[in-house]
Amino acid sequence: MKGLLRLWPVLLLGAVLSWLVIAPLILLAAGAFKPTGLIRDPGFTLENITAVYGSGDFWYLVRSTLIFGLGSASLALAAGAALAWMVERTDMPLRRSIRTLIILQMATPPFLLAVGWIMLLSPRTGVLNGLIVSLFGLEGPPFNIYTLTGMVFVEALSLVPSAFLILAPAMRNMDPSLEEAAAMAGAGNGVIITRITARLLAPALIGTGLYLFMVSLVVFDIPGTIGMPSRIFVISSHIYALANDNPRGLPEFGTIGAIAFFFILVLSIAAMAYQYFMRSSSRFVTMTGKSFRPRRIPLGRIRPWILMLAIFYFTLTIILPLAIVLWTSFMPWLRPPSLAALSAATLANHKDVFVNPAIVGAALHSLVIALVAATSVTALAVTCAYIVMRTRLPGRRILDWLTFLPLAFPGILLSTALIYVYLSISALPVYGTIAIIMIAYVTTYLSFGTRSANSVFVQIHPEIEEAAKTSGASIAQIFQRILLPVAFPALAAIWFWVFAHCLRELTQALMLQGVDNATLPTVLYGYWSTGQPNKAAAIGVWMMAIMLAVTLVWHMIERRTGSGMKNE
Amino acid sequence: MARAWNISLACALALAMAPVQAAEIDDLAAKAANQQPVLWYESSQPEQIADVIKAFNKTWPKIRVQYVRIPGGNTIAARIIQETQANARTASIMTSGSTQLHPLLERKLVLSRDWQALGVTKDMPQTPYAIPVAASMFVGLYNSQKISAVKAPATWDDFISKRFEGKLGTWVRPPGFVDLVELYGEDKTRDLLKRLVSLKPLLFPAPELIAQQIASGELDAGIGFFHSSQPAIESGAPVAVKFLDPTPINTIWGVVIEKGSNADGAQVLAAWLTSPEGARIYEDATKRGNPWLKSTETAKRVGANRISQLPLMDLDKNRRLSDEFSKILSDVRAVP
Repeated sequence: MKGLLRLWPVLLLGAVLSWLVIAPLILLAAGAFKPTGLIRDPGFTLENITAVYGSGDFWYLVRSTLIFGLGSASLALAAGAALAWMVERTDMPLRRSIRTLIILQMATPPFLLAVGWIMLLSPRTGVLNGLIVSLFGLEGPPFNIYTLTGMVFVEALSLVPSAFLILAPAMRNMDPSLEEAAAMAGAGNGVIITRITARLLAPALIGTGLYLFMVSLVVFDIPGTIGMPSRIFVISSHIYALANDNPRGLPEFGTIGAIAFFFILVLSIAAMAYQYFMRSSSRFVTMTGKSFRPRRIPLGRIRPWILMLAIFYFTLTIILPLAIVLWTSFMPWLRPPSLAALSAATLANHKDVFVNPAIVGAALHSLVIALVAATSVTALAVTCAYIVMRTRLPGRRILDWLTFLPLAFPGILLSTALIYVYLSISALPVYGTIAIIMIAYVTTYLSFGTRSANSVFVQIHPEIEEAAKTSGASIAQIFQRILLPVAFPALAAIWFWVFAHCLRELTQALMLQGVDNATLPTVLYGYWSTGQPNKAAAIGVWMMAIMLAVTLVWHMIERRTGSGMKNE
Repeated sequence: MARAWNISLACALALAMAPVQAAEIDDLAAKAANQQPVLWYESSQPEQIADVIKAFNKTWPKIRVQYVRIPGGNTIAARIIQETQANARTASIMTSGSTQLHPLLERKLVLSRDWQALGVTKDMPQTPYAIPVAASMFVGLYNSQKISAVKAPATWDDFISKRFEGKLGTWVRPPGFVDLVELYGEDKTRDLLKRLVSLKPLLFPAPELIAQQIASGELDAGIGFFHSSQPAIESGAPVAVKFLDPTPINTIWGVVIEKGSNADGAQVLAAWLTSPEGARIYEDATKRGNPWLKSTETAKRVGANRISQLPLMDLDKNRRLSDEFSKILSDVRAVP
């Protein structure tokens, strides 16, 4: 009995996670063994499994998908880590503006970003290609976005904000004593970064890398927008086709379910690798009971060059595509920027955002969903990370695996499973409402929340809490007075990331759409998919405006609480 | 003389039948009045369908209708099946292509009735399970600034020619080509499709993007749907439409779900959608018209062109060709 009482946090959290993760997973797995994939249909078959794994086409897709996933995750990790390091650990100017720019990019729905890049780098009408051809007198366009390299490039860019948001708090919370000692011993910046900083950050870097890799395996937007037109398929675009283009009229849920086992296997290996690194994480503790002030590395003479590099990066990767989206929002139809086209500019698309009751209603839904889901994910992630990283309770590793698992669910499949779950429980009237979308998002984004929260707990030495316990503080007081204030920037980053992703998420919102639960991305997609990309772009612009407003509020809170500012 | 007699007889019959039809639809409407709303699943934008519902309620104010958009339209049947299996509230009317009808028919979820008794004209192809509300017309599109009217492609072979290599776009799904088989024949259509693929076309997950990409100059021409090109054309984009002969069409069938909420009201709505008034309103809202109603713009646009469509109940052929043509269009190993 006493043992049970001791275990109640694990049991309670385990129950919540089982409901969120295991219930849909069972339905998802069951579908793979049904002839139609619909779990209430009669029959049992292994045909879906044998058809998928016995097919040469599938393994061909695995190869393309791995190239795509590894390429995007590596690039995004490198860029995100470099940016986080520059913003958090150097004296680079305009750090706050850079952080805002990175976060702003998260509000852009990836398929809109992809459309922006097509308009910049398409071989026929790409603005950048045209510019380079005319500047250097080339015979043909130097870039072609409709390639696997193009897909990797755009996907990596869309993942950079996630990498930045996971890594920035970890870098911010680093105790500089080891770096300072190395500097005192005569080590140069290069040696300090590679031999000390990188090693201290290893758990966060590995966790982030695995997370980005898994995300890039299941995302559809960019492979669908850039790859599909040029017949470059990865598993996610194949799943989209199985769900939407099946000539038999029903999505091939059975085949999709069978494919999901592949994701679950890859993710389980990734989770084990992640836990292995985390087990040796005590080597990476950087925030101890001693007070510290994170050291900013002076860039010296290269400071303006680093700033120039950052400006070039942002111009190329954020400002240009966002400018294209903005331009598109003022055009009556899709047309590349030119002086001639300027005369056709109109405010009609933007006016529509404010007078169309469908858009206004969807905006309210999106905000409520994003607020509730972001808060729930943050609370669950912190609780889970505390149990996993700070206790020796049995079952904690299973909890960690459960929170990582949703990353293996393609959005289409998770939504289908959720439809079954909530259709089966008529006493819980969430089917067709915004509540079912909230539940889907909490499940989906839990993996990001827990990866980030784990990274933070790795870096805070337990001696701070032990000192508080010795002084008689309760767990609640330790949370309220020590952990939450220390971890606030990281928790705010989690909240913010989930908020932004909920605001822009499309696949699941579409699948779970009912009579009155439309969200901004579903309305945006509605315009895009009915040949009105300019109206879609206008909604995208205002989504970015919402994100900008939330970013400013975040900065204000940071300034008031002093968190995140102590090292500015 | 005989023709005049036939016309007179038809008129007399129509006059005699009219009160019967009116009585039957009135009875249904009376039963449907003030019941729970008719639930309508389709793929059009909600604001387009809102106009249709508004007009319907002018005629039948006591029948409430709610609309749920299922984007792409290809998961409507799955949704209805899932909801029915869970005894949850589901659609009472679906307007979609034949691929969505068949899984519902196989599970005996579709209401069967005599539609002519509700005033649906016998000139339309129909079954007890489905009546044609409109049709998506597969057409040729081109950039009218890049290609003058004189040099514009006018036939299937004109569109699928070396001239447009790398400058052509189409939908990633093949239903237009599947329906073309009916009049063009399997071999000829297969050859056409293979020639199209050899031209390295851009394939879009949504057909609506084809017109926009033509407008932007990314493509010179494309094969797409008439209705999905209209937003670009109406906003002034330089996109021109060419109805090709034969013109493949993908009929949007009105289907009533037996266990759907307020199935009586759904029958009234389905019948109204095939009436000249309902068809006009639906066409104005969605740009998809009913080619079997001479009063629609769509019928006028098709003109003398032959309409090509696989018969509704020729399920096996439809599935076989769809599988094969999908593979030709989007072979996962197409690009190494």
